[in-house]
Amino acid sequence: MKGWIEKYLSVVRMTWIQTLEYKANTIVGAFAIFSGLAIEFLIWKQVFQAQGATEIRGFTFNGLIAYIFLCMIVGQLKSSWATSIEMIESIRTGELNKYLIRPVSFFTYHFMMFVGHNSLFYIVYTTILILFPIMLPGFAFMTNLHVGGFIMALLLSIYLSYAIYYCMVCFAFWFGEVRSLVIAYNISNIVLSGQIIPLRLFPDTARDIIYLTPLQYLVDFPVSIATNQLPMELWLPKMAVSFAWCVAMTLAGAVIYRAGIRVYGGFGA
Amino acid sequence: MPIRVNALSKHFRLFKREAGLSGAFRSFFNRKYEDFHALREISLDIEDGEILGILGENGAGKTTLIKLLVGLLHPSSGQVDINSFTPWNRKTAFLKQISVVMGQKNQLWWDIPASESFLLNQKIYEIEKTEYDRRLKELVELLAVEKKLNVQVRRLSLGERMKMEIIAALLHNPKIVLLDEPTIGLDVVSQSKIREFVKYYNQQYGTTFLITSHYMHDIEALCKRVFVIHAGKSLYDGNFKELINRVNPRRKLQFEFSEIPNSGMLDSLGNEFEFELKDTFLRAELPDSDLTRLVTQLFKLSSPASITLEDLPVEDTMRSFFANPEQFLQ
Amino acid sequence: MEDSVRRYISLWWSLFQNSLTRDMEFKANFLGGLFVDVIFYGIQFFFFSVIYSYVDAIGVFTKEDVMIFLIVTFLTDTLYMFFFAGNLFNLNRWMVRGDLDFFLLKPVHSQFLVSFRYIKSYAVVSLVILSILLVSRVVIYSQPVPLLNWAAFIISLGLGWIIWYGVEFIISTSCFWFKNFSVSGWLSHEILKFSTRPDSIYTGLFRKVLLSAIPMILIVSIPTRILLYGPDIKYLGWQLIVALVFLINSRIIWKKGLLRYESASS
Repeated sequence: MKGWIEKYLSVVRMTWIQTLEYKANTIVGAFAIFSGLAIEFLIWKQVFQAQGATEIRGFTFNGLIAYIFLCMIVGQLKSSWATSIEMIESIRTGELNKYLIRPVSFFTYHFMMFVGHNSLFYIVYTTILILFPIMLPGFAFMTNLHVGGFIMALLLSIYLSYAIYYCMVCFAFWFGEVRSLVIAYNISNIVLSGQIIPLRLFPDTARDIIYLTPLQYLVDFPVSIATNQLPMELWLPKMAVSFAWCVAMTLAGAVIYRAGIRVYGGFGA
Repeated sequence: MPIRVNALSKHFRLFKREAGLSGAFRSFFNRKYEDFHALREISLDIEDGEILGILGENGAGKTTLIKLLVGLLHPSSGQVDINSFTPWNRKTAFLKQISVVMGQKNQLWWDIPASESFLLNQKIYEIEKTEYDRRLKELVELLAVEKKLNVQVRRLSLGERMKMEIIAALLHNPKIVLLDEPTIGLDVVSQSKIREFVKYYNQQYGTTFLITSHYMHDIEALCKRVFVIHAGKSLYDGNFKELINRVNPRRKLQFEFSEIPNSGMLDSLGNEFEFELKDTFLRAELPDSDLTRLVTQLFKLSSPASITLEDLPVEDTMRSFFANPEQFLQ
Repeated sequence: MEDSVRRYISLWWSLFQNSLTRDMEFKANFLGGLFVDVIFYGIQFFFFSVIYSYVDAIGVFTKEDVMIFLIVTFLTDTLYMFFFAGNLFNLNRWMVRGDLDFFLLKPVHSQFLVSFRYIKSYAVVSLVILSILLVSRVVIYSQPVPLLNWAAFIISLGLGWIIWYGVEFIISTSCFWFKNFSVSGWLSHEILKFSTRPDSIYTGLFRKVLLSAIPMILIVSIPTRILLYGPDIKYLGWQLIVALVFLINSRIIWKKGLLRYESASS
């Protein structure tokens, strides 16, 4: 077990060295969400002004912006689409052989790479999150319990998101070029998981359909906990469902990977 | 297009990286640089129609020199004049006269047949249609790749791909061609095909070739003259055979006696020369002057059944040269 | 001058044919690209229909206007994709891997070659679909749209396209100054996001910035305004000036960048 941990921690360490090497990339990556946030802020300001409303479906303007802001941070932290594209490439070009002949797991290795690359964002975003209740008091993280619940839900979200991407990645064994699938999922995910409009504002049918999928656990769930919009008695049952989705997606990924590796030709290499 | 290089120097500012994670972290905030002298005061004249070999170990400055000659880099000081063009001004008229083939990079588009990339080069270099057709036909025949023209580049063998790269580079009939490791990774047959082609093409068209290669056979077969760079400095400029002679002037002699001479005579020879005797064969590795004297003496002793004289392998010679280049050129 | 214009047009045509030949090799990419486009369009329409379920108009843009605005956004995006996405996006990679050397060795303006080398030929299909969609939406628009609006719109769209090119080119070219600037695509995506929302949401100083230094409003909003509300010579003139300034700057920065590349790389 200790060896296992050390092995994968060294992957994380490697990605840090690599990330630090490229200053500009790091800086752009850490602050990328702010342009999206600015646009959301301006649009909703117009909407609230035009309607002369103080509340839309229970959201005040500030409450809505705080909610969207948190959603964007969570969305950024959980999104492993860049890692997924790399994984597809390695299956397509036969670079996967590199993992097959070494005692590492394709799944875990890339999960650690993803965590490593993202950890600089974690640092920046954690700072923002700590400042959040100080700058905008009363919108999020009312108690320590909320902080704890948020972190739990966030960890589940990060893992679940990766496991979903992984299932899609493994289709590359059959179809080679599945980047479009991943990109299409990524684009629709940004809206459908509630990353730029809260799920609560969706038309009812659309929302009901989304509630049947794991999508609500990716962004909406952790943020609803943080902003105290989910009654506490629902936390544990929802976490259980989220956890069940994690298990289901991991199993699905493993099954698809096993079947895929049989048809894998080791092309190119 | 004669090439005149005068006191050419180039240094780079290199980012000095510290080791480890904490080093990476420190470098993130505070970068240190150091100067690296890739070329120092290089002077060189190349005449039309020459095939010049540029030799040097990895990192000696060969690539920097080539990049300066084709105008991809600006020098720190010094001049290059190629038929009154300065390469780094990259005038269209100049670029139409040169070409570069890099063994480890390809300009051909991976996923489509080479013929498509040739067609594109026709447009880019503004080659007249009839001229283009004529040259393409000739080059394709010379390199025997008629049947591969319409095959996607990714499906070609390494040797075929290199031939296509060479065609792409020669279509516009450049006056100067730079071949950077043209035979790297190729099998022995393909290597010699490419060598023969370069030799033939050079004689036919009087095109100047500058070649860098780690295969000494390439250099031996193609270049009369070589230019040796070591740690950015010019170390030798002249005949390749002479360089070999200076490094290792010895040759291998095998003398077969028709009848074994008496041992006393041989013993006295043995005091003067170093050789080895086995059955009726005498073998020696000596400089030419000694060899001449030895052979004269041997003829006095006995008439030979056979004599062979051969050079030592070039690869070995050059390896010992690069192990300590200054020593041989005092 | 005329000769070299003709030469470069014919050169572009060869590059296009060359790219088309390659794209034909990958049917899956072609279908995949179309699939992504359709999802992207659908999601954007969905986003705005949710917003407009809570509001009647954002500034001058009613729901009907915004749908046309969106089609113009996609059209601009596809135009950009078609011409430049295969190139500027890859500049950093070409530089890191040394492929840029091959471009510089060709007797053609290097900025032309790095801007137009690979044309994403399959974007043609999206271009056709979007044009049809645009015309059909405008035909059923609540106000009549005269031909003059169309003519001015096409000019305005073209100018917007040049401005986009200028902005993107300048961002991509910064890879000469930053070592391995692989996120340039990401950065420009973040900046260009501002062009994909109707300009009524931008007010005050921010609006002034988006009209000049980071001219995002000029890319989609102004062409849409001209199409729906009629040509405005002030807007067109300003677009022309900004387009020229960005083109000239792209030339200057490219030359400076090359100089740096040539004296720094090994």
